[in-house]
Amino acid sequence: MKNKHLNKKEEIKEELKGLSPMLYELKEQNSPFQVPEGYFKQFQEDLLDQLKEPAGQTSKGRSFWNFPKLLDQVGWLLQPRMALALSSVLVVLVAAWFLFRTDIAPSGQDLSFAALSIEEIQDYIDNNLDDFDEETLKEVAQDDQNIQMLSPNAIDSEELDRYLDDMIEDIDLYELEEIL
Amino acid sequence: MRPSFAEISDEKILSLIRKKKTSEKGFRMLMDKYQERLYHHIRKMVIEHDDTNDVLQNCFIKVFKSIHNFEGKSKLYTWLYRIATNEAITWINKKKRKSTNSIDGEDNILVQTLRADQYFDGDEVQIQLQLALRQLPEKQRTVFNLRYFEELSYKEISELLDTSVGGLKASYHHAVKKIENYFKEVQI
Repeated sequence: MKNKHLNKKEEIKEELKGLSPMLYELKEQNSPFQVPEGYFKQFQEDLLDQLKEPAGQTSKGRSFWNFPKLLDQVGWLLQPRMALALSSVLVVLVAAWFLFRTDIAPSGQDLSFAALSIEEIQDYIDNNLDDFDEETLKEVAQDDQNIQMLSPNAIDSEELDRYLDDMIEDIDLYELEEIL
Repeated sequence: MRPSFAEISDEKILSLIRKKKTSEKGFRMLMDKYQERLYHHIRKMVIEHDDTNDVLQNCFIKVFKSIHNFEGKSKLYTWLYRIATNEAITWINKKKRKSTNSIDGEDNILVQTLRADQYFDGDEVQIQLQLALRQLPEKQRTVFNLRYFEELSYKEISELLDTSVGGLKASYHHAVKKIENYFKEVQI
């Protein structure tokens, strides 16, 4: 068995000597590749530890946030073409957020009418009365019992006469002339 | 006297791995017997120690996961070398895809890396040999590495790469000539 192995080695060397004496001489030199001391023993222990760990867990002693490795993994994102594409997408997303953010309610703020007090609603109507068109006011008036009382059919004629008499008494002659 | 790991047969190692109780012991024996050879095979392909460590780790994880499917149609070391070669080639191609450097740029990086590498003890000729190897097509480089460094027979390489012995001889001879020509051009 050993002789067979030696014969194989000799055969390979002879072949190389015939093909390239320069490479044959170079092969006689020691391998330039060195291995750190104790590497193989440590490698074996590390690998067996890793294989014993349940799937999905990161290995012992190896930080998940190994920065050079992480950089290596996302390095393709930093290539010019990918970086340009990525930055374009980011610009579009930021622009879209600025354009549409007015439609978005600030988080945690209740915008229902139930949360407003009567005073707040009245203040708003007083300050913005001119913004309501006539149709809207009529629609609201039909639904409102208090305002319905002001419609001509809802008022008693005697009450109306009394109200007008009182009003005439309160008006002086100068004002009456102006009305007429 | 206990037999050295090199003397323990592959059959014995495989039978230990296949039994649940002795699986770890068998796997340790497998690593003791082959890890150095596989390390050096991978190292000659990917060059740097840290990269070799990653590839070797992936290689053994794959071996561990699929050894129960190993049918013994080929020799164990042929099967292991095949996994190691494929893992190294996958890693090299992944690195190539990520790289934005030109071929000249890659060569400069390799020279700088080797000169700075505390685990590379080669002279200028050894550095040039690495550059010459880089010029070879992937298949030729793999055949050259397996024949020149690992000293495998053509029959073994044929089983490993699933290529005819005639084709392998031609690849190896071409590779040797190309490397010789490279050295003539750089005049070392």
